[in-house]
Amino acid sequence: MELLDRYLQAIKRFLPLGHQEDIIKELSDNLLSRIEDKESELGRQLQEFELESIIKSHGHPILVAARYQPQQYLIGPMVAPLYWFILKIAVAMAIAVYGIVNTVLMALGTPTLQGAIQIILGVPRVAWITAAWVTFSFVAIEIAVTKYNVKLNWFENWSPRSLPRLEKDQQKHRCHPMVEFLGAVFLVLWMLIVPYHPFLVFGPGAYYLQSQPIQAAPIWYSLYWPFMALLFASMIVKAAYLFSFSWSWPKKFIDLIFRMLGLLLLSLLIEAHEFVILSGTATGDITHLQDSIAKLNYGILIGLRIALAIAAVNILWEGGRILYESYRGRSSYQALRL
Amino acid sequence: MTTSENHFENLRLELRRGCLVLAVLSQLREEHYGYTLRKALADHGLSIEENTLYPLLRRLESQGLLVSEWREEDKRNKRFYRLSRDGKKILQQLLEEWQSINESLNLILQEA
Repeated sequence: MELLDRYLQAIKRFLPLGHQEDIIKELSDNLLSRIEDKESELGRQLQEFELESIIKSHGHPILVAARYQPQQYLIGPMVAPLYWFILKIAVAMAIAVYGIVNTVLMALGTPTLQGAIQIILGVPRVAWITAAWVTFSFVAIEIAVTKYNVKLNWFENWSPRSLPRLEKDQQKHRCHPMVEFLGAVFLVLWMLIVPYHPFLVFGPGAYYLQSQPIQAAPIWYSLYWPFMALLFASMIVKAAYLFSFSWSWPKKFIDLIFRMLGLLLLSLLIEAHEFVILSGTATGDITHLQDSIAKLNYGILIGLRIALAIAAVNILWEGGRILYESYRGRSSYQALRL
Repeated sequence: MTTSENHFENLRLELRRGCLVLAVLSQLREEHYGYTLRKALADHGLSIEENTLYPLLRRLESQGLLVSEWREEDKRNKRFYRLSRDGKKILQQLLEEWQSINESLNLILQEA
């Protein structure tokens, strides 16, 4: 019965220490009893393939041995619901903090498109590390509960009166999408006219600027049409919302995407570092003029970086809110179903 | 397997899992070793895999509900199990619980 001995040897390798001999003796007896029964049924000794069939039906050695392990899961059913809850919050907060800190640091330093991409690519690493730490912590809690009988009474002291107040339902106003759509139309038309009438942006200052030997840097012209395309697409989407009867999360998600695209254009603008240049009609002390333009560009750059940081923080906040509301909505639904 | 068959299989296993402990403890009012216990359960219509039964026996023994000893029979060492004193007490309580659940379920099914 070499095959049987090899099978039992394979199982033994994966059994818990201290119980191997005992368990193997029992399994051996069981399998030998099955073999004897089969042989008395057939009236002869089993052939190799018949023995192999009995052994195979008993199960893979690893799976057989696994059933004898004392703890079958890292995080058990008692602790698991809290684990998932904490995991989602921890990962979301870690990503939010990482995003905010790195965005602000980039805005105060030298923001580049490459830098922004590096920040985005760093998100999975932050999420994985946070998830790993949370998981290890809960594995330790599970061991404490099952092996050392530590009692968990986190949710025993609570009062229904301390629960948050009832939230009012979002009012579904038909005029709100209309206002947004008209605003988008106005913005598109306004931006189409602005290149021919800078007064619409600078007010009376436009006449002063026209008398100065400066002009807009090429970056403005490069980004103008991509920006217009974004405004136009946003206007089309807002037109579609007029026919939507509910404020569902896809609308918020789409709005967020538009904001992220706007942020991308702003990043590209900042990367240029040059927003005004000397015009071809400049005369007089060119060096002094260039120095003034450099200072002006620097001032505009600082302002745009601050705007970028604020916009990025706002996007992260909105994104986090959407995820949280989406999770809360699903949780309430599942609680109702249970 | 369709989704519906999958659901049924999972629920069936859950239902069986709850009954196996009671069945094993009841059968061990008489002494058995693993192989004969499995055959006895199968003869009563409750088939159970070896890889479920043997770890279950060890778990019940570690909980103090069973006692076991190795004895030679038919020229081989076999591990014989029987109920401990605590095991008999627990079995009695489980049987009462089972009766109660059975009666409630019968009432519910009659009403349905």
